[in-house]
Amino acid sequence: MSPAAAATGLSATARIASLGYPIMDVLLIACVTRFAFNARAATPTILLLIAFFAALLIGDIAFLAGQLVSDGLYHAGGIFESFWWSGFVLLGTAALHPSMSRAIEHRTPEVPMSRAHLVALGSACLVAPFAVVIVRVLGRGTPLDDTVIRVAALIMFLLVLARMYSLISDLRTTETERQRLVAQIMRGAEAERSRIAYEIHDAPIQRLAALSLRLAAMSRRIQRGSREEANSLLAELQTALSTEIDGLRRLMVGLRPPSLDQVGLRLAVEDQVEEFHRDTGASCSVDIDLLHPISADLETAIFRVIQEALRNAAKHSRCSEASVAVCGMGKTIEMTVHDNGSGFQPGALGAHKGFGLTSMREHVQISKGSFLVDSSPGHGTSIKAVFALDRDLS
Amino acid sequence: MEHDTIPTRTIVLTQERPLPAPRAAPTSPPTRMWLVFLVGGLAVAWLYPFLPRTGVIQSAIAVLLPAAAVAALLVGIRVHRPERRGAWYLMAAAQTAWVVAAVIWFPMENLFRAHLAFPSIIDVLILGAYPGFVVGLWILMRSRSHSGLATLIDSSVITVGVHCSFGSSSCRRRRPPQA
Repeated sequence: MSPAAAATGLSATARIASLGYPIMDVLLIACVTRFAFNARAATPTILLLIAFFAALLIGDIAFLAGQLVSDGLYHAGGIFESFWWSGFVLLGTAALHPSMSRAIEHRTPEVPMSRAHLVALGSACLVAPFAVVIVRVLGRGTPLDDTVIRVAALIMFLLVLARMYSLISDLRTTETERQRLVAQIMRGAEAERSRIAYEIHDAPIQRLAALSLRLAAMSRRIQRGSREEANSLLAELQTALSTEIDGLRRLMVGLRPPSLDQVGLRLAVEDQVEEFHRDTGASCSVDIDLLHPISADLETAIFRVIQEALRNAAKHSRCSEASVAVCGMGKTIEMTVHDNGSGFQPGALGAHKGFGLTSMREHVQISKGSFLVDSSPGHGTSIKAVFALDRDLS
Repeated sequence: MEHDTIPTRTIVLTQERPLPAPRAAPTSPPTRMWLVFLVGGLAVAWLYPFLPRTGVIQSAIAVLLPAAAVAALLVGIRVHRPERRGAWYLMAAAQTAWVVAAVIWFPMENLFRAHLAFPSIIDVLILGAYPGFVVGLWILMRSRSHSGLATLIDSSVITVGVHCSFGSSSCRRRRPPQA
């Protein structure tokens, strides 16, 4: 920008246009860097878009540098134009690639600071002092613009301070959230114990007590010698006992489906979908596409969210169709449960957050995922969760 | 406990009528069109500087490659039906501005040996294309990422660093850029 800002004899429009190019490039650098920092679940389309902007910037920088060292006139046909044309080819390819359809399908989980990320930030911070040292030590080269260096160093210092403040805030938020989750888990575990106790007390214990009374009655009939009556009662007791065993098995399956341990997520989800179909009569598709094995914890979290989402759909949505999809994409797993039912206004649920959404959100948060509810009255509901596939989880 | 790789499998439980797909499945353009476009396009782009300067072929490439990108964007939007189509349409509009600039610029330079004054309609079109790209990218970014302060600060650090590396060179004695 310096040449355009300091040049004499330029008209106002020429000055604005001259400044416009580098300003737009700086804006592009800021946008592309931010986009790249968030491209954890980078699809080919995202990578091609980043490459397009990089090629465009290289072409622009080469163009401006060429202008500065030449006679100031543009001569078409130079090699730097190939960067522009390559950029446009990359932009077109980004649009033609099949991954374009899912380029922005879901928000990605927040990206933790990686080593490469830290190196990039450190290198950017060291550019100005490094340039000063090189010029001073070697005693030759292009003289530096002190004003630019000072302003950049000041801005960089303020940015680093802001980043430190942001990290400390994040740490505090994480700690508060952790304490809240631990308390929530303990309350949840207590509530679950109470629920199981009630379920066992209300159903199996009452019925088993009744069976015990009937066994006593049968014993009395045997003592009286009423063999036929005793046989008839015995058959009834056998049927009642089988029913009770089935009831206990259902309770056990509800607590932890055996299929999740034995055959994995797919069959467990298919069981849930079959139950959903039986209960509601609604059609439901299942599409599970996982390229890599996932940890048991993550599997359980995904299963629980699907289970809760299907329960909600069965209870509240009055849907005729639903779908369940789990898709492993690079370093993330995306899960969607969609129904075409009555939908609801997520913001109108208030503090209670109802419909088991809180439970689903907590399952996702514990697995370091992000959770999204997309619903509106009359337009169905989509429950989406994205989980990061960290090495320590898989 | 870990499980083996889970292959893709789709089951559909239906009542009487068949279940429509939950979302229109995107149809890939035939025969890996994107690969042909990429390889062919890059080959032409890097052949460009070795062609005779100020020739018809260079002018044609300078117009056709940006125009091919517009066509590819429109085909991609139609075939893949991405979410936030507005972002892609904005980028297509920005790219169209580039094509119009190229249609005026390169034939004048190469065929008619005419230099346009600075600034001209070409600068208006090219500078007008940038906001389209930036806003399109911004929409994609907002849809994809957390709108956290951290990434904003990080990208600002990189931007200031990169800008400092170019801006600190004293260029005051040089001429201003002219198109």
